Amino acid sequence: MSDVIRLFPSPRIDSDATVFVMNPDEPPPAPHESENAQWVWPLEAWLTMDPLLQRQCGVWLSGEQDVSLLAPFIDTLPLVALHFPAFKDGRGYSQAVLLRQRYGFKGELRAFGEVLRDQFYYMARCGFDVLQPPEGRYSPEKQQEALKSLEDFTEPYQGSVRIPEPLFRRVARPVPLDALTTEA
Amino acid sequence: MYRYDAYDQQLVDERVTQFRDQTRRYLAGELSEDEFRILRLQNGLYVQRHAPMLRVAIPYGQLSSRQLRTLADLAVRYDKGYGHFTTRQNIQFNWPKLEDVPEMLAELATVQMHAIQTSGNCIRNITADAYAGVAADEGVDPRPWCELLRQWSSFHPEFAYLPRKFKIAVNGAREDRAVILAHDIGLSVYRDPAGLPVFDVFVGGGLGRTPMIGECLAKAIPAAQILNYCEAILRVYNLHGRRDNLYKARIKILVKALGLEAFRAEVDAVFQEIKDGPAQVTEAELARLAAHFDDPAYEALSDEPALLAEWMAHEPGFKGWYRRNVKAHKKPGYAIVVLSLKPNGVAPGDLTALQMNAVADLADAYSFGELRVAHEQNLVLADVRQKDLLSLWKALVPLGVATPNIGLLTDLISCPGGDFCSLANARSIPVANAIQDRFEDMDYLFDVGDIELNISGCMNACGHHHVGHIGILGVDKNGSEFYQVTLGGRQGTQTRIGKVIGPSFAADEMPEVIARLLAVYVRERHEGERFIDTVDRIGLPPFKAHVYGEKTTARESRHV
Repeated sequence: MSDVIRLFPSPRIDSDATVFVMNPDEPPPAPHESENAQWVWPLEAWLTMDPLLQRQCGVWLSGEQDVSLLAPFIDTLPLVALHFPAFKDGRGYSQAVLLRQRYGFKGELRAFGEVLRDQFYYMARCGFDVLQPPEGRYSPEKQQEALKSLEDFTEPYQGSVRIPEPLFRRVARPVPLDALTTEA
Repeated sequence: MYRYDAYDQQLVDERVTQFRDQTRRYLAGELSEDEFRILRLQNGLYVQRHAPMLRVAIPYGQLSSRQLRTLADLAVRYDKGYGHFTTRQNIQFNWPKLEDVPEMLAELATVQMHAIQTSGNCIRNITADAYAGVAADEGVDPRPWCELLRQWSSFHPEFAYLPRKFKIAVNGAREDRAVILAHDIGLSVYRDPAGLPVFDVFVGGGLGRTPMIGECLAKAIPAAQILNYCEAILRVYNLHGRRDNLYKARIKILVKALGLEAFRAEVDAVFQEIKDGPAQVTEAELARLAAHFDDPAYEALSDEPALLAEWMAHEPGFKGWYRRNVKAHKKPGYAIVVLSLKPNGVAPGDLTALQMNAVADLADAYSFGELRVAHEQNLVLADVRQKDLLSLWKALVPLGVATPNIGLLTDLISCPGGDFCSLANARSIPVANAIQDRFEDMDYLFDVGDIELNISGCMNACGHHHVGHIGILGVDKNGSEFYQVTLGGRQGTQTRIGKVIGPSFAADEMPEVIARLLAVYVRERHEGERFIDTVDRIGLPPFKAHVYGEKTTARESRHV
C-alpha cells in the first residue's frame, strides 16, 4: 500500500494498492492476485494484452512514448499513469494535457516517479487527478502539509485542463483610470 | 507602462509566499540542494562564483522611477550598493544572501516587480526594443504584446520543466533592435493590408555553443491567435526537445534535427486542434493591454534646430553627446536620450544606488517618470523635450552616465564574466576596461563611428559576441584565459554570426588586436562606410593579415 494524493472531489491522502510493473518481461498476474490491487503495465506490454485484461489493468508511459497509441482504448482504460523519472523532466505535463484535451481521456490520470510537493500545483492544472510521490518521501504529517501547495495561486493567468478559459475570459479586468496617466 | 490590477498583484504576492515557504523548507532540510535549485532558479536566484546572484525581471525593459528607487534601496540594504543591467533587459544583484532573498522579493512585489522565471528551464523575460512606443520607424508598438505573452508564460503549468531555457523577443519596427532572430521564438508584429495586427513567427535562433539564426515558421498569424500558436510551438518542444545532452537541448537543435518543414507540420497539428479554443485573445483584453501603453501627455511642440545648433556651438561637450546619445523621436519637439552605462573603468552595465536614485529623479523631471533598459546594457529616457536637452545633459554629466559613446567602440556589451560568473572561462570586464582605456581619444572614436563590440566570457554567449561586428569570446586554454575574436556578426533584420579570425590571444594583447582591426578599417574604408560595411566588402583576409602580422603583399605594405 502506498500513499497517494487524490485531487477530487477535494484533495486528500489516500492509500492505494496499485502495483506498477516496471519490467515488461514479468508475467501477467493470476486472477486472484489482481483482485485487490490495481496493476499497471508498461505501454508496450499492455498493448499486446488480451482486451479483457486491458480493461482491468492500467497502463503507464514514459516521457518519450506516444500517447496517441492509447487513442483506440481511451474510453475503456481504467487508469493511465505517466512516469516522471526526474522532477525536472517535464514531458509528462504535455502528455497529460494531450490525453485530456486531444484524446478526451476521462479516467484516472496519475503522476508517479519523482513527484514532489512543489510540482503538485502545475500537475493538477495539467489534468492529473492522482499524484503519487516516491514511497517514503513524505511522512504523513508532511503529506498533509504538502496539500497546501495545491492552492498556491488563486487566479492564474492561463486556463487549465479543467477550467480552460484564461483569466481574460474568466473575469472582467477593466482598465483603471490611472493607467492612462503616469505616476508621480 | 503596464500597471498591475488586483489579479497581477495577487499572483506576485502568492509567488512570494510560495518561495518563502520553499526557502524555509530548504533551510530546514526538507528540500535537497537539487530540489531547491530548480525552484530558486525559477525565482531568479543563482549560486555564483562568490555569492548568490539574484536576477530581477524588468519586463521588456520597462521601468518606472519608483521601481528604480526600490532597486537602489535593495542594492544598499541587501547588496553592495550597485546593480548590473543585462543583455535581456533585466537587472542582477551579485551579492545577496540566500536567506534574504524572500524578503527582497516581498519588497519588489510592493512596486510590481518580481524575479519570476528569470532563470531555469522555462519561458524567460519577453524582450523588446528599448525605443518601443517612441521610435520613428515603428509600425506596431510591441509592448502590449510583450505584456500579453508575459502573462501567458508566467506560471504556465505545462512549460515549467522544459528541456532548456526559452527566450522570446518581439519587434514592431522596421529595424529590428530586439535581435529577434537570435531568440527561440522571435516575433515580428506588423499590420496586414487590412490594417490588422499580425505576426511573422521565427523559431530556432540562439547564440551560445551552436549559434543559429531563427527561421520563419509562419507568416501573418492573426494577433488573436498568437498565444495558441506559441503554445503549439512550446508543446512540440516540450515533448520532443532533447533531454539527454544539455548542449543539444534548445529548440534550435530540434528544428534542425526535424527540418523546418517537419517541425512546422508538428506545430500546425497542435495549433489546428487548439486554435478554436478559449485561449484566443479577446478584443477586450487587447484593448485593455493597449490602453496601458497609450502615449503620455505629450505637449504640442516643434523641433528645436536653432536651439540645438546654438548649444552645439557654445556648450563644450554637448555636441558630441547630442550626436551619439540622442535619438530621433516620433513626436516633434521630443527626443530619446540614451544614458551610457559604459564610462571607462566601470563594469559595463553597472549602476550604483546613488546613480539609480539620481536617474530616477531625472526620469521624473524629464521623461514622465519612466525609463527603459536597452539590451546593450544602457538606460533610456524615451520622452525628453528637445528644449530640455541641455539641462538634462548638465545633470547627467556629474552622474557619469553621459559618456558620448553610444554606438561607438567603447559602448561595448560585456557579460559579467569570470569575475562573477561560475560558468565563465575567462574574465570579460578587465578586457572591456582595457579596451576602453586604450581608446580614450574621443575624436578617434567618433572617426571610427558606429561599431558594435560584444564580449562574452564563455560559450553561453550572454555578451552576444556572435552578433557583434567584433566579437570577443573568453576561452580556457590549458587553464589560462585566452580570447578568440570573431568578425562580421550583426544583429537586426540582417542578423549574422561572426567568423573566427584565427588563434586566440592573451588578455593583454586584446587592446592591440582591436587597434589593428580598426586600423585596417580606417585604411580601407570607402566614403560613408561603417566598420561592418567595410568588413562585408573586403572580407576577413586583410584584417587577419594585419592582426597576425603575416607577410603583407606589396600592395598592402605601401599603405602601412
